Amino acid sequence: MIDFARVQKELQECSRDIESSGIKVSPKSDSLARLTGTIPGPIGTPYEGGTFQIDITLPVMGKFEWELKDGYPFEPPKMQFATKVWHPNISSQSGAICLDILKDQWSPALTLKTALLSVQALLSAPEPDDPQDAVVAQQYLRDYQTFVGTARYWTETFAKPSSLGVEEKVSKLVEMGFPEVLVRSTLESAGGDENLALEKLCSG
Amino acid sequence: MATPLLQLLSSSPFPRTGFRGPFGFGGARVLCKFFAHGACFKGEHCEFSHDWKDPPNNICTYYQKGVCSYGSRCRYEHVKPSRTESTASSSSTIPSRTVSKSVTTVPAVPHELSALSRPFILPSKPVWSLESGKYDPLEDSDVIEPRNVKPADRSICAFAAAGSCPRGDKCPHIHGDLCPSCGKHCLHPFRPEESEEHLKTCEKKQKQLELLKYSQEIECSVCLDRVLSKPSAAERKFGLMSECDHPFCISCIRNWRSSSPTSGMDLNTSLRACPICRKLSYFVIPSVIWYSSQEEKQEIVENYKAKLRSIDCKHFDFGNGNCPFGTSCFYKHAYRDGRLEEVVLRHLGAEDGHTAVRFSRKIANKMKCACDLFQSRCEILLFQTQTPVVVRIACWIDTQSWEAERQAWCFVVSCML
Repeated sequence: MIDFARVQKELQECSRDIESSGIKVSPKSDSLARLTGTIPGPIGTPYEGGTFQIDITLPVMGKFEWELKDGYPFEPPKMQFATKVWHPNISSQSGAICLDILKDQWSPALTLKTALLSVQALLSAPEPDDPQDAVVAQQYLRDYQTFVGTARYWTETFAKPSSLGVEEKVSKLVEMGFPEVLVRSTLESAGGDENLALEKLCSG
Repeated sequence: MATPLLQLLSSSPFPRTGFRGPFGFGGARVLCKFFAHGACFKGEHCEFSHDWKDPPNNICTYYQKGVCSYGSRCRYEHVKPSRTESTASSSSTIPSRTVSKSVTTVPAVPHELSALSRPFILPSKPVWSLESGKYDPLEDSDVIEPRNVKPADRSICAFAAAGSCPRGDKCPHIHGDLCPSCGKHCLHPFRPEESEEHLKTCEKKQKQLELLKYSQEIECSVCLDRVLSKPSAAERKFGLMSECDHPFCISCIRNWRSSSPTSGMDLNTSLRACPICRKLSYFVIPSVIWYSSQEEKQEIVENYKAKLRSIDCKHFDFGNGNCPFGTSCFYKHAYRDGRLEEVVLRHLGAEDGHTAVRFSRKIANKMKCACDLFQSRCEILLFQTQTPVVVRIACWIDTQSWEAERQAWCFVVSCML
């Protein structure tokens, strides 16, 4: 079983020093077993300025009943990038993270916050020799400049929902030929995501 | 003034079987209750024993008289007065009665019977029952302590010990010195041994209290709770790691160590390691208190091991079973006739730099499987001769140093776990 008392404490602790760490953890629904973590892209990397969302699922028990495993914190939390990111150790398709502390090096003394900090550290220190996404890793090793460019572009596109002002987005979409009122309401429902709004507008 | 009380005492409707007096069965003295709590003002004049070896009287007198309002929650033993006991105690009751009679017939006695010049003749009667009835220490200020009594024999003032004595300098009793630990004026200035003992016990208690206070603040980094604030008593225990000093709840750390490893998780590098510093510990010891120094830790560990050594191992089962921990087991491995299990021959063939260990067949097989993984450092040769299989560990380490041997042993232990 998940130790919910501990999860509760971790959330409180995390919200207390949100200013200094910039790391946010919040429950997705009423259940504390599914959470969303938010980490800022580390400064001095192509991910700078981006805000990355990570889906966290706390394991309840082992795969089989006979395993009799205890859930979190005796099992590592399952983490996956919800925001698309271009990184050798993170799948560009699924967002799966290749990090030892989320697998065999997990320790119950680690918390969601420390795990997210490790993920943040992974962003600034990629390990191309132990890749999750082979394409990205190959690009990182062979053509570093292109890698940096792609990573920065992905950050700009996917990790910055409010990179442009609302007015700019509206005028951009209006230029494409959509009525302004519809553009505004669609943008709002899409949470300010320009691409999502465009998709919605196109699909009618 | 004293007569009605004494008469009441001697003609009490209850047979005075519950109160056993300072002498228990067979003339053995009963431990003084006040001495046991650290402060008996009567010192060596006390009728009760001040020797820790003597047994305390734990029998509830109220129950013996018929009713104890505490019922099953009473801290004293509820024993029905038996015939043998009443005859045994009657021997101590009779002389006290004859004394009471002599007191009632001599009218001049009450003054001399005060606590100060107490003629030590009432061995079975509590002195305070006499005193309180006929003598109020505050009213009767003309009583003077006889000067011929040595200062060491004079008792110390209970009022001063408790805080302040209303009689101040006029008090016939000795005002004790201040005990720095408990803050009471209860050290007899002329009885150095007694004060020293009080100081010692007081200091020990104080230290324990401080340690407990310190322990109460400690959090377990697995459940993030204070260990000593857990809901159930069984959980309010620390788990001491043998190799490092990070505190955990015993339940949390045991849970972690016993959880089955997920794919790729290594037993020794992750599960048996400290969750904080990842240092490998071979055992965890429960303790109700945390330690502040290595000596204290050692003491806790030794006490725990000593306790387990006195309990028979259920796996060993007096030689009928196989204990998976072998000779490293903390529990007692003894046969039915009291003979202890043979000690392992650690240096069987030590001249060639090898260490040989005796294990059960089950463990030996387990080790044989494990040694394939460990080929680079050790090689294990199995000689399946008789039932304890002799396992030879050949260390591929050049020097037969203690460190090399320790590593070999660590490996052996890890195979057994």
